Amino acid sequence: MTWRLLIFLTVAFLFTATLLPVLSMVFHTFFSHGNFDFSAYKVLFQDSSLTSFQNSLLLSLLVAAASTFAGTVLGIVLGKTKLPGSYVLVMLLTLPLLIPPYILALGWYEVLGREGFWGELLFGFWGTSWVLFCTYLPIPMLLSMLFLTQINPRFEEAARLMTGWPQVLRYITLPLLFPAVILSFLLVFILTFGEQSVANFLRFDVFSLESFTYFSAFYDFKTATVLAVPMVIVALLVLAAEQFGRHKHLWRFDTAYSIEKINLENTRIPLLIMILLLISLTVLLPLAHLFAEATDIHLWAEALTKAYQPILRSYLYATLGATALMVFGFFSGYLLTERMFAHRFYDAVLIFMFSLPATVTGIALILFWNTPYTNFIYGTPLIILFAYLGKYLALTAKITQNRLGQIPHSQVEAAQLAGANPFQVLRFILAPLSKKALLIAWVIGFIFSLRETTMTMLLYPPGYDTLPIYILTQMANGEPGMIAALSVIMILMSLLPLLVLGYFTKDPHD
Amino acid sequence: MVTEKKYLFLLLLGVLLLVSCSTEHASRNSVTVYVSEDQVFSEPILKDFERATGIHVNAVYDTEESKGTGVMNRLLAEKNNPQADVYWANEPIRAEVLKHKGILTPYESRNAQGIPALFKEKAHYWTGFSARIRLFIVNNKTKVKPTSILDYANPKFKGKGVIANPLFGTTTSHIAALFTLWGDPKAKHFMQALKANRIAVSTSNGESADLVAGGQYDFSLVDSDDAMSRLKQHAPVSFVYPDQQAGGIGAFVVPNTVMLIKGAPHPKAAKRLIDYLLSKQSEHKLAFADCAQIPLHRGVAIPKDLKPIGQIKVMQVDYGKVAQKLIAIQPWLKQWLSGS
Repeated sequence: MTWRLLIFLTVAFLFTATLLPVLSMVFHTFFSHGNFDFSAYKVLFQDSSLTSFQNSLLLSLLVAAASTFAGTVLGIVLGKTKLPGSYVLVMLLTLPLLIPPYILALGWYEVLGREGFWGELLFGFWGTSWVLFCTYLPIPMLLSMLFLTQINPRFEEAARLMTGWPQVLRYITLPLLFPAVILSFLLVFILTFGEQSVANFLRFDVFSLESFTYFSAFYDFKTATVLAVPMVIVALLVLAAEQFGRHKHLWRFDTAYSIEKINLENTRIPLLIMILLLISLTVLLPLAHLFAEATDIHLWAEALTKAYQPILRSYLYATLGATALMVFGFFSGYLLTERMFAHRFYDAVLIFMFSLPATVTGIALILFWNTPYTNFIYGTPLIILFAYLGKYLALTAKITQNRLGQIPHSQVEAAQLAGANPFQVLRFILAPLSKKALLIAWVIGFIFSLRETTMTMLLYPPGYDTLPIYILTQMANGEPGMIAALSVIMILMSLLPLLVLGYFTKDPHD
Repeated sequence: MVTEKKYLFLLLLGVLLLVSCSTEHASRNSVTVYVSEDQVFSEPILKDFERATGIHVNAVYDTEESKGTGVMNRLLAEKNNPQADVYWANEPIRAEVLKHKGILTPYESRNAQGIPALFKEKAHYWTGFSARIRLFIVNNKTKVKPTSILDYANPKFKGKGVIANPLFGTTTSHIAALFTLWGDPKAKHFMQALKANRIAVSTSNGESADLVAGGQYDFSLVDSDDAMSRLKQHAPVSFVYPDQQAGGIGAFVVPNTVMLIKGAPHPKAAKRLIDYLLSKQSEHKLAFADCAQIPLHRGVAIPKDLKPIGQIKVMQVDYGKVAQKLIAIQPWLKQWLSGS
């Protein structure tokens, strides 16, 4: 079997499993009673659609701008200075990204309530912006830390001969971090634009809820799909900006350099206090409230007794989801690196699937896969794996693409000349050299699979729910202490992959 | 090489585990039920059924977040290859939608005999049990209490009331019932008058109940379980059954409904589950649960705060017509809402 055939089979499988159902659903929006009909698209120009679109744009711009600014500053402080306990601080700041966003919103609701000045501020634009800011702050922080490893220390050393660190940071480091800033902004923008659980919980009218409303109030699959189209267009425009803008290869990294760390001296304590204050505000305050609600040991025992099966299933689905995402991400990354087939189209497809509202993906998968002949897929959690693959493959493919791009072609060619078949090249060259990237892809796949709720809610086989779903179903009139205990269990579960990553990648540059 | 084989073995084991999840539920003595009633109330009843019959229940519960999207959209999307045997809805309108979409099949349960005809579909596509009542939750500081739904448009109550989003849940059913009862012109006039009377719109009945309990608004139309739960939390509220006066239209009743899915994979077990849910025993349990739902069978004991169904003046509507009306007025309601 040749590489081309292997990659072709991978792409064919992915297209059939995930893209074809969605395309079939979008295709049907252009027809009514067998005739070509564009009238379903009129809904896009209704006042409510336009208003919520405007709300979403404003929300996404604010969250993307604020989190990119704060996250970049944090990334520099934590990645570039000798701040004590920076690893723990990074772990704490990353926590909101690991848990379903509605849990953070729930935490803030527990803190501020629904009434009074703060309660009213929470429920609406500002509250939604704040919760999403806290959720996505880790993205620019982690990306800045990663991009710091891409800066050749010689530039900074040369500048240091002339001036002090403040000027070096301003004129050398920051401009070289610009790709991280752009990439963070784009990623947070797309994620905020597609997020609906926080806006739904905090009663703010966003565009992603429009599509959701047509599913939930009208059971109108066609209009709901039509309302998803602008979200995809926005995401594709963002992708186009990346492709044709100044920084064509935002996802590409070279070999990591070791970072020259700044001695903070007198500013060490004030900076530490400021970061601890930020952590208290963005992470500890909402989550500690949940912990405080769940102090009763009997509640914990009851929560574990009731939810041990959903907990085990969550881990099983997330483990298999992460493994599938890592494997298919590897082959997709290879396709993109080697520019095989229609790689630009394939790249766009990955972003298309990533930006599509989860409800649309879920319904499309039901309509396509629920047949008597494919019950072994639809009637089992395999359908959830398909959903994870469709939604999150863009992330693992990009991570692998970056690493594979750094492996010299000569190594693969030499192995092939020596008679190695594709599997041997994979086994002895590509896999060992991209081991860490694969591990990171696995952990990211695990995190996103573990916290996924919308598609899982639509697709899980009867009686086989996951913990995030179980928490959501308990939220309807369930005991608040029990919900808090379950949420804390979810948080602790989400920490595990970070610990795994920390254990296997002891080198801070990874 | 040994390590790789181990990984491959583990991966295969995982996939086998996944696949086994389905074959297990399809082959065993089991029944699959989709449930819109809150899991905290419905799960204990289903567990009791398992204990009583030995039939394993595979359930899919709806979530507060999805507002019914999960289960209803599943049922609609699965029409050509049903996975569910039974649907337990927390109101009759969804049942009617499903009936019209050809997703249900009739089943007349022997336990449905004691249930009033108003709460049963004539051709036995669905049967009601354990109902909620739409009533006013009123803050205790309020001196003049509303007694009729028309009080929403009464200038005496200007800016003092709140109502849940009429696009969702039982509020949308209630509004559709008014359209059915009064006709479109009168109902639309009422809705416009309600808006002119500066009645606030909340996102759910639960939120409405909280707003009244917190004193931001004097009253709201909510479901009886929302009112009961606030009473149990010792909130300073009381409740009023609306339109009970002579000539009044009566209170809108929202029964749970249970129905058999057409082409259900386990029809025998499904019928046993339906029989169980419609029994007096299940109604008794739901009456004494926190949801405090009112039994529709006569002679079932109820908590002292509740009125038996026989003592409540009930709005006389055909739920089938209400469902049709609901679909017809949705665009108008959306327009009404966006203009508010």
